[in-house]
Formats: sequence, C-alpha cells, structure tokens
Amino acid sequence: MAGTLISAAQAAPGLPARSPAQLLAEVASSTTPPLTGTVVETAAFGLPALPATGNPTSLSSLITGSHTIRVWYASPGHFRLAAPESLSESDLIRNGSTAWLWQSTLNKVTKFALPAHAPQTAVPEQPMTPQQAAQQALAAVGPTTTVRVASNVTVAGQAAYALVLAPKDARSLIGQVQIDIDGRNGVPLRLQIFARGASSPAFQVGYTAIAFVRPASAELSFTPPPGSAVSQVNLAAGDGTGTGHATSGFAAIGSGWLTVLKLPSSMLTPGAPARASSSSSPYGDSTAVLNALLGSARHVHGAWGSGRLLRTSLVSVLITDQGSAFVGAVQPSVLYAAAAASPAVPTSGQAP
Amino acid sequence: MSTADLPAPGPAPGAAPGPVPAERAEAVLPGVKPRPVWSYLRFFRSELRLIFLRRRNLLLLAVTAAFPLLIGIALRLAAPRPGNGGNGPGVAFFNSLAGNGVFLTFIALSSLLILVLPIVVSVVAGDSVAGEAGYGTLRYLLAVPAGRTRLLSVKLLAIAAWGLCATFVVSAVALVVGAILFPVGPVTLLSGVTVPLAEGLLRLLFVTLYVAAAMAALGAVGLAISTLTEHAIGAIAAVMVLVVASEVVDQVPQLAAIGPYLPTHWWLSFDSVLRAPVDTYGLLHGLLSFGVYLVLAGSFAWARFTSADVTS
Repeated sequence: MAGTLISAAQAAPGLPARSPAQLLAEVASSTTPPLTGTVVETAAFGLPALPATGNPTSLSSLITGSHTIRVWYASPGHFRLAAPESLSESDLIRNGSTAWLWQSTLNKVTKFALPAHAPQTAVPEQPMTPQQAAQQALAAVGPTTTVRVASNVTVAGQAAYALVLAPKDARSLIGQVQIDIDGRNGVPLRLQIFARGASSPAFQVGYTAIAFVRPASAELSFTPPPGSAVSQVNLAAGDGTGTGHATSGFAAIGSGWLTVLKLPSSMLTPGAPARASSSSSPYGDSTAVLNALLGSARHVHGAWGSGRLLRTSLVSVLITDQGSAFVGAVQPSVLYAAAAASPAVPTSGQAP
Repeated sequence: MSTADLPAPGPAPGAAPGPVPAERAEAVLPGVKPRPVWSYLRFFRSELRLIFLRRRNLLLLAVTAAFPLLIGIALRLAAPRPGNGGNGPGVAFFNSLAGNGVFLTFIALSSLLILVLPIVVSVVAGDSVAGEAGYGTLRYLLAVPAGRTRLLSVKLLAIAAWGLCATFVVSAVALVVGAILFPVGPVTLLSGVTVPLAEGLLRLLFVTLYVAAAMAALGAVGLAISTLTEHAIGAIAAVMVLVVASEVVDQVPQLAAIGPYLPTHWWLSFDSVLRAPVDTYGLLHGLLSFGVYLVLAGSFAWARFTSADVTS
C-alpha cells in the first residue's frame, strides 16, 4: 500500500521504450536472478468481515487484509519463503529435491520429497510470488484482451514497466490487470488487479523491498529443530500431479475473462462430509469463513432456477438450489447463463 | 533522547513574558560551584530513590514479578506435550515451551505487555508531575534551582529506568522459573532455526531492551499527560485508557490503515529479534515509532511544563 502511494508521488522513471510484445518476450525469456526481498499481498474484495485467524495459510487470511512474505531466492530449486505473523512464523524451504514446511505455532515440520525434474510442484497454488502470479495472468492474453504499456512506475525502489491487460468484454468484473516489470532484468515486481471502475486494486501482490543479491546458503538450508514433530510426504512417487483431489463435478464454462468455474456446491456448503477436520488443521477455519460469506449472500431466481448469489467487487459466486456452485470474475448474468446451460447435478443427499 | 536537548525558550520578540528561565535563576545564585553533571546525577538519584523506595511501587514490582511465576506454574501444570498440535488460545510460543524454558520469558513478556507492564509504567509516569503537584511539593521543587527543563528530563529518565527495571524483573523471573520448571537448551527461533543457548539469551536481552524502549515511550506519554493535571489518578487512568484504546483500535481490521501509527502497534514486534535472519524492518520501525512518541510527548511535556503556572 505504501509502495502505491510512493510510486504515485514520484515522477515516472525513465526507461527505454518497449512495446507490449517486447515486454512479454522479455518476461518469457528472462530467468529470475537470485534475489532477497519482501512481498506484500493485499486483498480488498469488499467482503464482509470474516472470522479472524492467526493462521497465515488459512483461507480468510488470504482473501482479506494484508500479508507479508519474505523471499530468499537463489534458483528454482533453492529458495525460502517465510510468512511472519505476530509471534509466529511459517517457512517453506526448498533445497534441491527436499522441501520443508515449518509452522512455529504447531512446532511442526513437514518434509516433502520432491521429484527432481518438476521444480514447480512444491510451490502452493496461490500466487505467492509476483513471478508466478504474473505468469498466470500472461497466460490469459489473447484476442479478448487489450494489452498496452502504461507509464513507468517505481516498485520497491526499482524502475519498472507497467504492462496493462484489460478485458474487452464489459461483462467481466475485472477492469484491468497491471503487471509491473523490472526495467533491468525483466522480473515481474508487482501484480495488481483492479475491479471495473475502481482506482485502487482489489488484489495486489508485489515486492515492497527487493535486492538482487544471492541469499547466503545458511538461509536456504533447514534442519528440523529438536523436539519438533516431523511428518514426511513423498511427492516424488506420484509424479507431482496426483494430489488426491477429487475432480468430479468440476468444469470450466466459457473462455478467457468470462470463464466460469463450476463445482459441486457441497464443496462450499457447510454440512458436507468433508467438514470433519479438527480445529488444529490448517484449513479448519474454512467452514467458519464460508459461513460468514454465505450469510451475506442474497437469494436470486430466474429461468435457470434459483439459488444464492454472493457479489464482491471482483468475484461473483452463485450457489444454485440444484447443488452446483458457479464462480467467476464476471457479472451475475454470465453465471445465470452458465447455470442455464449446464445440467443440474443429481444430488442424493437433498430432499425434494 | 531527553528533553534537555531541546532549545531553551529564547526571548522571542513580542512573546508574552513567561516565567523566569530557571537557568537564569541558577546563575544568579552566589557561592555555588557550578558542577552541573554531578548535581544532575544527584538529582537523578534522588528521583530514583523517590520512585524505588515508595512502598506502592515496590508492591507493584512484586506483583509484576509474581506474574511470570504464575504463568510458569500454570503452563507446567497444563503440561504441553510436543507434537500434539494443540495451540493454547492466545498463548504464543506455547508449544516451544515444552522443549525450552527460555520461552517462558517470551510468553511472559508478550502477555504482560498487554496490560500489566503498561500499568506499572503509567502509575509511575502519571504520578511523576501530577503527584508532586497534588501533594504540593512541586513548587518547593521548583523553588530550589533545579530548572524546569532539568526537572522534566530527570523525571523522564527516572521513568525510563523504572520501565527498564520492571521489564528486566519480568524477564529475569521468567528465565529463572522457566529454567526450574522446564528443560533448558539450544533455542529454536520462530523461523525454525536452532541457535545455541548463549545466543538465545543474547536475543532475549535485546527483546527485553526493546520492550523497555517501548515502555520508555509510554512513560514519556504518561509524563506529558501528567503535566496537564494535579490529580495523579487522572493521569494514570488517562494513560491506561490510551493504551487500551490503542490496542482495541489496532484489532479492528477496518482501521488497519492507522495501525502503524498507534502507540501500541509495534510493541509485539520484539518477535523480529526471534527470526533468522533478524527482521530489521519490523525492529527499526518499532524503534522509530518509540522514538517519535518519545520526542513528541517529551516536547509536549516540556512546552506545557516550562510555560505552566505552578500554583500548588
């Protein structure tokens, strides 16, 4: 947040002119140099107040408020991410074919054995660093998108290009996505997602401090502390893909910015059998979060059926009474169309 | 650091005639050898004696020392088991304590920082000037050639020393109790890095000093409030209201934007010392916040006190 204010106050730094295509190529071809920095993620979706948790990996902490991650990066196979919280910390350390997850509140270490040839599997699915987040956004570039280079900005003290992607379809809730790319070595420094018509980003992840220096090897090694509980997970055998998630009932409807994700509403609705997780589980508070979210949803009905609609500045969620949930960064009409087009999931647990 | 560094009130043209500058009053005293440092130290020592020999304050210190003992015994009886995954509500470091008694100091400091240490500091700080005014001793103190600026700086230093003492009492008692009730060995930091016991104790020293700095800043605020009133209890209550209000506002997510400017926001940032490598960002921001509050409150107290009419 402070970075935004500072960069707005300063004059645009001078850099050689680049076209969007040149910038994209630069990003695609550049390899991330060793760096040490601090990444701050800020989300302001306009959600209702959620139950507060002290868990940095929990759902509610990721979709509301601000989040800090300290990064030590030497290579794709050697890095450390630390999420400092008040009086606690979670660390993810990857050292070659071994990755460690340390959670100080639980005094717990999880050791991952990784396949040597798939360097990305250890990384969580959320856009944790600007690199990963920007790569995801760049994949959406296509005929549906206006791409331009805005005036240069300063991010974490670095002069950066601002690549702006804007959906052409007005039914998308996303106004524009801005990716700030380091002027010297093409590293994405910041990703901002603006809701349509909004002047401040609904979601942003970016460096607030960065230095392109190789972290000391001591910062990239990890030894489980004495007395901690160590559990082992082997990801090497399963080829890094079979993580055990059931994929039935999932479907992507539409394309580009108007993509709507369809999933069985038992994933979201409390009372599902998957709810039996204890409070000590990392995602144990998800139920409470979802309850808070669903409490603010309003009832809607139409030709497609009826259900509950949750609207935020950036994301709409439609939970139909037929047992499906539709999620997308789109206006509700797109969700209704998707609901009308897709057949209802026959649910055995629901009384007629 | 103290208000003594601030410029003396000069004879500003057109300014209303203020009280006689104390430095001048001192200069006209005949037959006194000017030994400013020595007399300052003597003044400071008498102020310390005033604070540390007051029975009420000693009782307060004893109660403060009892808290780490109680926490230690309670947590020992709760018998944290390593690896059971249960984190006691609100007790940070709880799972680390099972393996290392040093963590009792961090538990004690973080829990006493919420209310007990601020009370201990605000009682002395709020009483410092208002108490003297209430007892009617302030005018006698000002009658001797002490100088108002010097009086204020001595008060501030004595409050800071009191806060330092209270913080070290908490740390020391918690360390001893932790060493008796729990095993002691290499210290596992928040980042999962294990350091030798000696380095852990060094980090504990820095944590204690950081907390003492936070208490000194609070003491300066208390001193500033204390110059506003003749009723010590009012000043003490005002400081406590300020602390609690600041802590409450800091917990409201919608007011997160003003969080970093609150006086209590950076208190728990002593955890920066317990990371590897040390999170200098949080640490320096905390110290900067304390410094700003110290200077602001000190300046306010000085401006108020050097221009106030002392009638009681």
